Amino acid sequence: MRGFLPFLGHRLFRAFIALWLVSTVVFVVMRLSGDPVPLLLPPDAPRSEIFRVRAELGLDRPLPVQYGVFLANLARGDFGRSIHFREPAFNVVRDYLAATLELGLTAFVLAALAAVPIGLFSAMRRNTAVDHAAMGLALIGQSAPTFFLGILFILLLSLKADLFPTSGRGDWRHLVLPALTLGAFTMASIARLTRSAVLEVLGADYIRTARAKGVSETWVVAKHTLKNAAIPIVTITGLQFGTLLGGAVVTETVFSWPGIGRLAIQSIYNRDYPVVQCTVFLAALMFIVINFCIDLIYGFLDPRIRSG
Amino acid sequence: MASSIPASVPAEAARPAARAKSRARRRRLPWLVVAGLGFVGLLTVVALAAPLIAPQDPTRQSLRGRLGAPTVHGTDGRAHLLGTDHLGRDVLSRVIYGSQVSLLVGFAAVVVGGVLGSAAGILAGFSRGRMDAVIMTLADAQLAFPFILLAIGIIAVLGPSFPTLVVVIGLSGWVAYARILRAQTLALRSREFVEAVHGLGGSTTRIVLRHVLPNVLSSLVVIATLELARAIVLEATLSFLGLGIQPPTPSWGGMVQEGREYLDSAWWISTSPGLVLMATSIVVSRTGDWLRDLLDPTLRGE
Amino acid sequence: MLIHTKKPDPLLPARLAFYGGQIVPKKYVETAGQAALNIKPVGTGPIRFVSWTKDDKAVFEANADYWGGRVDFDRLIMRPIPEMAPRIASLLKGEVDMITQLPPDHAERVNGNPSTKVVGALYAGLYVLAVNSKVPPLDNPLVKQALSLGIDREAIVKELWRGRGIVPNGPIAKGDNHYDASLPPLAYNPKEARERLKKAGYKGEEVLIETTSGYTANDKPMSEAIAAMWKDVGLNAKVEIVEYSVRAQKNRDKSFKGLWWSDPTSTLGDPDGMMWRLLAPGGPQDYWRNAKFDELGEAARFSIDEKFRAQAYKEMTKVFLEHLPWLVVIQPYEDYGLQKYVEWTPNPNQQFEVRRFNFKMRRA
Repeated sequence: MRGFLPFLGHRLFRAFIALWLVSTVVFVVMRLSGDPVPLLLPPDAPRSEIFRVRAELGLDRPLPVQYGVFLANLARGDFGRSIHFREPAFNVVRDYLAATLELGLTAFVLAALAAVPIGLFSAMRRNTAVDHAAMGLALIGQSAPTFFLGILFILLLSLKADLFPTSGRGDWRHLVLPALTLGAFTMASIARLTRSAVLEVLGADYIRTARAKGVSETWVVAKHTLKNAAIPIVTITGLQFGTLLGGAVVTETVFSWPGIGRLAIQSIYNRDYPVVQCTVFLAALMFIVINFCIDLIYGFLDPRIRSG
Repeated sequence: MASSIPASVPAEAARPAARAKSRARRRRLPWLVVAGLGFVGLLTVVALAAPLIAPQDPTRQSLRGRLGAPTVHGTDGRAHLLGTDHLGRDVLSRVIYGSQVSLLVGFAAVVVGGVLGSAAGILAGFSRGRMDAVIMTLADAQLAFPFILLAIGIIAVLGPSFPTLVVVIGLSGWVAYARILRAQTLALRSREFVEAVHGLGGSTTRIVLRHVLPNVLSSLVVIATLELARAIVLEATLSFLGLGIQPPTPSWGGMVQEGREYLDSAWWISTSPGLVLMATSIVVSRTGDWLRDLLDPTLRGE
Repeated sequence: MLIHTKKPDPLLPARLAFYGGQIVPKKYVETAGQAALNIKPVGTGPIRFVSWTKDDKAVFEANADYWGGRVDFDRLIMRPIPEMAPRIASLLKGEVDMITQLPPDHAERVNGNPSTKVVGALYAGLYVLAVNSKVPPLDNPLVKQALSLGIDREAIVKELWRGRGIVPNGPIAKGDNHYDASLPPLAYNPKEARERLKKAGYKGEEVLIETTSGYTANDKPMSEAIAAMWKDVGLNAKVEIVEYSVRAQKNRDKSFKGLWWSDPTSTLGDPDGMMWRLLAPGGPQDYWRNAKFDELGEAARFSIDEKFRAQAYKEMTKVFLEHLPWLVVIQPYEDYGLQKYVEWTPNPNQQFEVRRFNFKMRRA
């Protein structure tokens, strides 16, 4: 365990720096994108009004000062007030976050629950039509562009088959298509992973041993597959959850889902700096925390990393 | 760093078996890889020969013939095998011309990302200490950042244009190259022959060119192929969001967006470019997978 | 009540009936402030404000004490559904009673549905391509005339708008005061357009349309269609899509590079509120000046002699059609989707009239 603490400390430090970098980049890019004040006032508002609002929002101070204020506030967890919504940026993000979490969790749970049995089934029926079909679909799920997958689902399952609504958030029916779209990549990855893990196990020695001993093959397969595949599956799911915002941006746009992905895009266009900064910061934080936890888990499970 | 997506069980365990398998495969080039590469080649030919292959001018409008279903005899007397869009333009021609945008941006972005990433990786590997830490932290930051938002932000600032698009998409992928180059450079640094080369009067550049690069070449090819698929999809996504190539230049993502309004009536407007895009992405990434299995299975754990 | 004005104002009654004449409680505004009034409005109308959840809905209820009689519903709920497909879907599924902004391409679907119908009103305004007349080649009236002659408005109305619109004949909307029905609809003459370009000495300079995508109805398709029409007469026409926020910025900075979409309207139904208000010196679209135009506009603003005003606007129209600070394209119908049991007539100036004489829910 000797090398673990410095390893941990080192990773923490890098995470911290990364977070700071992310925040700074957002700050710079947003400020470069232009002045949000003209968007708040009617087109023929007098200059004096513009100056007044700008001062009220603290946008008239020199850039380094604004940056200093930004960092100081960030350290206190204060993300400022949304220019568009006129309330604390954090509150705005929090209101939309629930929708994204609902979508994300559903997507990943669906993905994991569906993908593992599919992968298992495919491996057991290796090289049959079922296997090829399943792996073909997995290939599509992993490589297809998310936005078009969403459009295809809308076209086939909503417009033509009338099984689900085309967009928006409401009851469970509204959740299905966006969750399928968001979770497609994860589902496909886990299915393929499970399949190769099962195949490895099936070809291994301990299976023959188990057969010889008369132990139930399924049980051995399941146990060893779980051991082998657990880490990668956890990694994938974790990573996907960490990059939830990135995937959600597109899915939420296609399905008009009122989550932080769509909020972020709208806020960029509205030049609502505080909301964009808050959203990106939280997303990056989520990613870094999850990655950190995964590294921790790796560290505990794999002694080789601990000493390095 | 455990922040990439493994496609199978940890590479450590797979290494000896995989090496043996790939050695066996190397003897005969599987037809699937050939088919994949062939598809990319075909697409390139289509893109280059678009003016000759496309039945019509992709920007030619015919307001009277708008939203026409696929037919061999349309309102303007011509064949529209994939129908017409909301301005009466021939969808098939636009899909063909759209390949130009996808491939051009895709290849250019891969080059930009590859050059930047490789340079960063070599720099990190050679300089150790400070510079290495800086570059690797930059990589961390980039991975933590929801990149599509950064892309949207930058394009919102600079305005959509071809160079902006190429740079932004290229920037999205530099990390993969940097890792490989860094690892290889580090591996070589600790060997005696680096000192030997220096001792004999050779320069660092020589080391890079004659020892680092050749070793990573096959890995670079694999990464570049996978990155090409990703770049093409990213360009389409940005165009779908309205931030990519501007009208009337046809782009697959832009066409899907234009057809979205008519999904229930003139569904061919969105589906045609979308399916072609999907096929391209699948084939190119699959080719990348096969190349990886073939050339460097150790990448699987990367 | 006696109102004294500094100068004669021909539109005073109209102003008092519209934006300038709303009555609000003095004490409330003085103590709570303007911002509070915006979030929790108090007025004198037929409906009472109940609640507002941002991005979700605003709720109103009937004001039983209204002097004009109680409205024919108990509650009014307004929900923003910015994307068109879900908006139409919610109407067709019966989730809402009425939707606004129904694009012509989808009106058929609503009419074809057994439970819904389309009603429309001719927009009390015009869709125009406003011109930055300071930038060459748009500083040359001959070039602008060529641009105007190069637009096939009939095709745009018939195909892009499915007939839901009319070809205008000048800068005054049909239905407004002093609309001159004797003027012919704006002409489409590609041959003449090429002639004017030659006369103007046009050398292939770029003509750029900066358009939003979906902010003004059919903006992007019309831009692309018109650019293609212009290319056909030999113009180097280009289209650039900009975000709404960028457009707002350019609007304020007056930094448009060429042409952009505008949907001018006079809430008072008068050229003073439309043509003059926007194009006057110092106005929001001040890119071009003409002494005669300015003099007449100023005079007509303060005259209560309608005959004089009619003549003045006739003259101003002549100047306008020669110099074209706007390229007038279409006067569209604004369509709404309704459930068949809603009896309601839309207002050309987009005012939502809910009082009993205009809005009834027919019960079976």
